[in-house]
This record gives sequence, structure tokens and C-alpha cells, in this order.
Amino acid sequence: MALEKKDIEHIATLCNLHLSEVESEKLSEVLTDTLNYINILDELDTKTVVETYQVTGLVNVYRDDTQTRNSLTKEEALSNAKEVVDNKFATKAVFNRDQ
Amino acid sequence: MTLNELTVNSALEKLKHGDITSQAIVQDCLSAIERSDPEIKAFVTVTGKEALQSAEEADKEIKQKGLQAFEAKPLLGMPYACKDNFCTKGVKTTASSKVLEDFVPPYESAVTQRLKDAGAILLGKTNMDAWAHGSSTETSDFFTTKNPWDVTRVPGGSSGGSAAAVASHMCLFAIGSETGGSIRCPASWCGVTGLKPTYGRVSRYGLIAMASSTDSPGPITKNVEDAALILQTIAGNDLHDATTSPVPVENYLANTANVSLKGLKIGRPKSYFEMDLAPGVREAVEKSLSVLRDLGADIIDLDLIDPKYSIAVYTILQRSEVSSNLARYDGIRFGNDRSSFGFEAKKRMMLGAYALSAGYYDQYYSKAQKVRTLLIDDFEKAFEKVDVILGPTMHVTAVKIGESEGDSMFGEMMDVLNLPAAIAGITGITVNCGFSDGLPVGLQFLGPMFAESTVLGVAKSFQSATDFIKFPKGV
Repeated sequence: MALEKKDIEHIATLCNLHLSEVESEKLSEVLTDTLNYINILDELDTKTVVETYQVTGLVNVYRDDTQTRNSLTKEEALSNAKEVVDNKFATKAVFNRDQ
Repeated sequence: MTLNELTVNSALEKLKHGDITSQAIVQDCLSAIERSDPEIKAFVTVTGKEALQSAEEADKEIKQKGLQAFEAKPLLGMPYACKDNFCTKGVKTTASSKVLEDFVPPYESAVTQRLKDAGAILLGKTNMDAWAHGSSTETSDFFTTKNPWDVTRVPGGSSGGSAAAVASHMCLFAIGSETGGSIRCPASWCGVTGLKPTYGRVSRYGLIAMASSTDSPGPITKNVEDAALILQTIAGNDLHDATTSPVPVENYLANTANVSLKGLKIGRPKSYFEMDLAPGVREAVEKSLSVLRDLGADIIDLDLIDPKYSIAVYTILQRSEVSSNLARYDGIRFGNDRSSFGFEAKKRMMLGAYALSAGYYDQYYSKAQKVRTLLIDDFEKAFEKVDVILGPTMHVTAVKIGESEGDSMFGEMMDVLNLPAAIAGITGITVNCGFSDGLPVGLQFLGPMFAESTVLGVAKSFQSATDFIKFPKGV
């Protein structure tokens, strides 16, 4: 299994990452290496085995309605934003992205 | 001896007797940081002024209330260092990443809140592999921490700054976090004690998420009693982390006090010892087996799944969860944008996104979760036969700075003996068991879920019977 340049570009899009030419080439190499290693799992028979997603087996944990939690003030929530407009987070425009 | 060299338990004893003050302890720690940290580089941020102020308040409280002050605050006046991936309100928290280089959290993590409530004093935030991706601190976007035993070597990671700070007496104890060995690896390479609690024993609230299904915060300390005391302060169910367990927290310190190893069954996994262990590591661990036998333990050979499969399982699960957890960093609400990610983080996100993408999910993610079930069953069967499992923590001693370069799975390869327990979510502790060419060798004890008292007790007995609590000279 080898990851080609077009695979790397596709995954980078999924990750919302911009890669340099050098990074793309290096990633194609190291990710292919890693995929080749993890194929050793095929040596283990798991046909009748179910997945474990949660190791302590807790299911449907609900918070007691009587317990409340403090939330952030608007100032605190905005305190790390690079750009704030009218007490709100400023994001890039969804339409006309150059604006 | 200066006060920064004390353990938490002995410092508390002296403080309670009025022999010393919290201000004097904090001052000695800050002097040690000033002296040693320019070379060791354990800290990303030092909060000296705030720490001295908290110490002054602690001393006032002790003067007013006497011993009663310690009933409500069992760690009153005790200075500690915290890995820089725990959010600390008003104190910069970076995860050693450029993305979060100027992030000042508006809230406190559960672990640091509990320590604060118990009276502990934050000295600063410690360096780590960026986002905890690594086993050396070399992937830190800022700098590499040095091993206090040999500054040409790495301290291990990802909690390398915390372990180096404890080993060089820059604090009384430290907090780390483990996903696949990130507490046990640096504790082992720095010759100190590191406890990886059961998954869900300690809250992850406010811990910058790496792999959410295995992330486990825990203490790095000078001895086992300190690890027990810190664990009982930070452990327990938490409203803000639904994966924390309702299993009651025990008095680990009391339970650890007088554990007899007579008749205790200790498992020795053949597959762990058939690995290519460095000769000095093998020798120290084999000698430890004799010590444990002399203490009355029965050593029983075990057949456990070859840990090489854990490397593959961990790689898939960790990368997948990383790709999801790091997707939130967009530079809008906090931090810098995604162009600030280092190569290691990019690499991990990319593999994770691939493993989770349509057409590959069953082949990778689902397969890995099935093998995880096999690993859990493997441990459960083993713990029907034995009380604890023993092994080397790391198959080699601390490696040279730069050695990890070009190895795309360096962390996993180094942590091979830590990964099975991390994936299964069970508890483990590492203690120093000797030296090889002047470098510490770690011995680990693994126990079933929530058997922290057992592993702490066995490790304490081993520590009491041996003389391996040592610290490097001249740092």
C-alpha cells in the first residue's frame, strides 16, 4: 500500500491543512511506511471479536439535573480571540471569501 | 540539603511541625529552577511571583489554624510543576505548540483545580512534545528538554519537562499525562516514580485532548508514597468528564503503607522479556526479580500477546483520535490558525484522517478496536492467575538527543512495553530499579483496572527493600 501525491492532497483537504511540496513528499514516504507496519494486525484473527470503544464499560452517563456548572462570561470567552467585532468572534466570510 | 530536595510527605511533616515554611520551600524550588533550568529547560512558563504569594498565604493559614489547616487542604504549601497541556486559568497553556503559544485559558482543568483546592502551589508549566506527540520532548515547537542524568540525552516524553523537573529537584512533585506511555517513559528515563492511573480514574476536563479514549493524567514523584498521596487528591468522579468512574477513591497512602509480598503472585510476560532488551536493562530487571522473590513473591511466567501488535493498534487509534481532536483548532476563538502546526502533528492528523475515511474505516480503525478487545481479554485472563504483572518500562535507557530523527514511529517503538496497558486502560507504575552506564532503568508493575492500591503497594515494598531512589548530582 503506497500513498501517492494525489492521496496526500486529498487527505490534506480532509484535515484542512496546507502542505509544502517538501512536506507532501515526506508525508507520502512516512505514511506509507506506517501503513505497511500496521498491516501486521492482519495476522490476528478478529472475525468473531467485537470492537471496544470505551474501556471501562460506562454507558449513557447523564448529568444530574440538580448539578449546575459555571459558564464563561462573554469577556472570558472572547479573551483569546484574534479578532472580535461587536462582542462576537470574527470569522472569514463564508461567501465571497476574499472579503 | 535544601528544601526543594524533600519529598511531599516529608515536607508536609516538617511544615506541620513548624520546622519550615512554605515560602522557604517555594524559594528553594525557584532557586533550583534559576540554577538548573537554563541548562535542563524543563519549564515553558515559571510562575514564581504568584507561587511566592500563594506560599505566603499558606503560611498565614497554617499560623492561624495550625494542624486543622491541613485537614481541609492536605497539600497545603506544596509546590509542584504541571505539564503544559493542563488548562490553568490566567496562566499561559501551550501544549508546547505554536498554535497555542499565546493561549491563556479562561478556565481551570479539573486536576489543577483539585490541587489548588488541596492547597498545592503551581510553580510553572513544563515542556512536552507538542500536543504530547512523542517520547522525547524533541517535537516541542519551542525547545528540547535535557535529561538531568546526562544532558546530551532526552528525558523521554511526552511529559519530559515534568519528569526532568522532579529529577533535578526543581519542584516537590509534578503532574503529567499519559496516552501511550507519556508518564512512565520519562519517569523511567529520569529515574523517578511515575503512576499511570486507570483510564477514568482521574478527570480529563481541561486537559488538551490527544487520544480521548486513553488519555490519563497522573503524578510524577520522588517516591511511591508521594504518588499515592497525589493520586488520592486528583482522582475521582467529575461532573465535567463523563468518562470518569464512579468507583470510590481509596486512601492510597494508607493502603500503600505496609504491603507484604508474601505469597503475592507476580506475572512475568515471556513476550516482554523475549524482546531485544538492552543488556543493562535486562540485568537490572532480572536482579529486581530476585529482590521480589526474596520478599516472598511468586514469579509466574505468563503468555501475553506480543507487544508489537500494540504498536499497530495504538498508532491507528491515536492518529484517528488526534485527527478529530485537532480539527477544532481554527485560530478563531483562540490560538493561531492551522498553518502553525508542526510536522509531527500534521503527520498524525493525516494518518488518522486516512484511517477514518470512507473505504478504510473497517480495515484500520475497526480492526484496531477489535484487537484492543483481544488485548483487554488477554490482561483479564492474566489477572485471574496473578496479582500484578512486571516488566521493564523501557527496553533501552534514555537515548541521545537527535536519535529520533527520521524515525516515523519513534515514540511507539520506544513505548512498546507501555502500549498494551495504555490501550487496555489498566493502571501501571514505574520505579527506578538500577543503573546502566550511569543511566536509570525503570521497572513497571501493571495491575487490573482500579487496582492502584495494589500496584502502589508492591512498588512501595520494592522501593523500601532497595536503594534506587537517587538523584543526579550537580543539577
